[in-house]
Amino acid sequence: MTLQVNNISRCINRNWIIKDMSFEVSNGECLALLGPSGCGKSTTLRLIAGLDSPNQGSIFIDNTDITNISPVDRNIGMVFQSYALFPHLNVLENLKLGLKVRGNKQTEIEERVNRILSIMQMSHLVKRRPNELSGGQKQRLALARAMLRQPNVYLLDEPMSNLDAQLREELRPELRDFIISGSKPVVYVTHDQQEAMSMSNKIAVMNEGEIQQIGTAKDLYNRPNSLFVASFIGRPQINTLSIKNNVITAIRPEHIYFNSEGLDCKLSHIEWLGNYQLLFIESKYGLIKMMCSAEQERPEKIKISWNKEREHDFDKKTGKRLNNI
Amino acid sequence: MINLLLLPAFTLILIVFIIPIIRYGWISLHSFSLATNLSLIPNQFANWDRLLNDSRFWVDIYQTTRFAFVSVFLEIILAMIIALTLNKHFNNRGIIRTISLLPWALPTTIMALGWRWIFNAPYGPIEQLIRILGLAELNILSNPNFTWIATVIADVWKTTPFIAIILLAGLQTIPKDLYEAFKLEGGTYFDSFKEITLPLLKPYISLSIIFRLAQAFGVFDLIQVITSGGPAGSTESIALYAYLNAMRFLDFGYSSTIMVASFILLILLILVINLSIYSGKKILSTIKL
Amino acid sequence: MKNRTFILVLSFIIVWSIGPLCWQLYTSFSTPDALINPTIEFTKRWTFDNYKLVLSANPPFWRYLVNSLIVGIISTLITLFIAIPASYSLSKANKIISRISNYYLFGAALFPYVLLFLALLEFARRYNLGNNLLALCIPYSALSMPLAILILTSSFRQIPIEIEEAARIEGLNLIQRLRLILVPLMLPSISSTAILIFLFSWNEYPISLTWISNENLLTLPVAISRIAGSSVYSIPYGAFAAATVVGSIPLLLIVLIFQKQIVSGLMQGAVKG
Repeated sequence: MTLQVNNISRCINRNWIIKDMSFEVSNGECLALLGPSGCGKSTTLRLIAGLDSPNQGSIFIDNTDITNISPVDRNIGMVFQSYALFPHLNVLENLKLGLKVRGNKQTEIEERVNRILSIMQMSHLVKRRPNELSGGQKQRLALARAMLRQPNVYLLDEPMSNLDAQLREELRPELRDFIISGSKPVVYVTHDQQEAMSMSNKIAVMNEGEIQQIGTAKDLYNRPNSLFVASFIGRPQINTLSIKNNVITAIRPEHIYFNSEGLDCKLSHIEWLGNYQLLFIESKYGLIKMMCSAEQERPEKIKISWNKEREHDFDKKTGKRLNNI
Repeated sequence: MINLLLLPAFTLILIVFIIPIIRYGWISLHSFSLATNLSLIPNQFANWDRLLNDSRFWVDIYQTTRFAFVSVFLEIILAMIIALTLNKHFNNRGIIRTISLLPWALPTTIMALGWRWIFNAPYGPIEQLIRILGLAELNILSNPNFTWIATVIADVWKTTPFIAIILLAGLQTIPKDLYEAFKLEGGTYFDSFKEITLPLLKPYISLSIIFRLAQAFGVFDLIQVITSGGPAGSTESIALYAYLNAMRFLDFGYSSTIMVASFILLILLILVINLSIYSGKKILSTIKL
Repeated sequence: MKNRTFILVLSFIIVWSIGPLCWQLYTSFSTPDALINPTIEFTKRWTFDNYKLVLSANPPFWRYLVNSLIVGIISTLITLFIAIPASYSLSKANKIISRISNYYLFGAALFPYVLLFLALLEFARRYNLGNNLLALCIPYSALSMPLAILILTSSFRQIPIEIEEAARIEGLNLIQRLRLILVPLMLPSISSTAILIFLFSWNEYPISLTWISNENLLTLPVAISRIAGSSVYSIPYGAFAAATVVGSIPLLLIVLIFQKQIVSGLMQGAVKG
């Protein structure tokens, strides 16, 4: 199975929500769509699911054009941000409904539902309604419902955002197993870069309806092709300095170190973050953040420096990358 | 495509609401009565001429408007008291809410007759009470100066619960912490009513006023049953006059004219109310400045 | 509010609301003599005669209850059957359509429908719909339609769109989505709307008055007002009070049982407006 998205665009009231977007996800691969809210990542998912239709472009699953097929016939498994479980049905009924209306045989429905229930370890919960389930159980039910029909493609829309931070961390391996075991193309929408990095093999960074860059987490971190990607990926945020004319130079805080022959600076203040510290340093190029281990001792005279090859240069006007590493 | 589902409902509403109004407009330009053998004979604006010179029509307009304004005014005040009370937490609130809802649920005709018996002279409870207190007989249903007040009381009793529920809905949308913050500022209960409750409730109040005024303008069952428009026509409403013209005098042409006229007057009334709600707001804000 | 004021206001509300009803109840058990002279001796004070009279009248009083019940239930079913799909589509409509529809519906809901009786009577005469309980359900459904659609549309809008999208992805077509997902989720507001429609149909007077003349087909409000009209100068108040009590019992039950739904239905209508 391969999911192919070719040059799709979506326009509402003359606003382009999605502009000329293309990507490909093959079997067992997980593409994370990462971007700030309102960048069009959820819309992309809805276009693939068939809940909206693109104004231009086409979508293929396994070389079959599904652009104009109704969502029913696309055979897509989707997990919604709110899970969208049917609140008036219990766990069992929630799972059976889709198979029933698709006309599967009763015995087959039973068998498939029971198998998924035991995989998800939910057999003891069948009589519960969604509002009687915990956050993690709801998420598992939503996943189970998506898996049940053995869909061609999985679409996950912020599946973790309704969970609290601790539960999110606990459930991450579980969800990861699910994504890998499915051996189907998975598209995963999130606004959380850590989540994107840990759950997916590829990340597409989106902004204002366009893909800025597709690549592995490492690619995006080491070689951002635009100022937007450089600032979006990596925490604390990358330093942006105007050293040369019409060029913005970006250096990650973790690549800055003390050097007695470096740039003359003054310490402004310090944020203690447990395992490391973040130094805010005033220089002639403006405020620079520097990250170092918590034990690092500060010299009396603050002078900093960085390796030339860690510099990312971007065009001031277009934000495009200038130098190659 | 999916908008087709609106079609049956909207067609039905068209047939029952819009077409009748157009039909009245058409009939009002014709003689249409027993005298014309129930056929439509064009008479230019004869019906309208008659209407403009028909003092009974204008008296009825005055009486109906008076009835509507006084009833709605009292209803809003009473409903506000009920809503504020029911918005508090106390034991058996559900029962009290049910009790206060009862008058609205019963058929108007049934309770109009009930009120007619209550106002009955000399055996109704009010007259009996007056006698016990040693006061002069009130005889409210046969005194042309006061009978309309009896109809107002019956209407207030019947429709207040409806407004109270709407206002209660409004009250429940007001966040509690607004009041708490106001209390910390040192405001009293009545201050908070004036500064928080009333302004935030304004959309609900104006909704009730407009809705109830329109309904009260068409008052019919209540008056027909309690007074039949009497005594001496002192409680006759527009709808009752139109009804009498159609069903007793069998003059459908004139009856239709009355209905079109009252429809137009109603629209004007609602426009004026709308405007006064708006300009009222402006006046208030200038006073504060 | 101080506690004492509060109790005072509360007592006023109770007396004001059910005082007149209690008076009817009292009247219905009183002998005619007792009504004229309340201090009459105890043995001549109370009676069941009024109820006997009402229940043994010809046609029997329960017939009017049945007539009103038939009209109420059928009007409610017709209205819901048309209003639910209409509200669904209105909740999905674009801004222009939904704004125009709102004016249309709100205007109709505001209109004092009494003024429509003549045209509706003409309509009934032309299509021979007089003296027919089922035909009476047509104007009743139409008259309750605007409010029903306004309330139901607002509650359709309250269902998260993702629920319906999940159902679409699960493979449910429009009818299945309405039947299996949306209508069950809306059951509370559908039932409160149903009660409002039923109450309207049960209480409606002018149209029933002009459409129905056959004694056996009268609805309750008209039948009761006929008791009053039968003798302008001396209304048989005891019998009449008994009739109102009997006629109110079904409604009292409805209000007692469905108090929550009625309130929430009205509130929803209000919040949307």
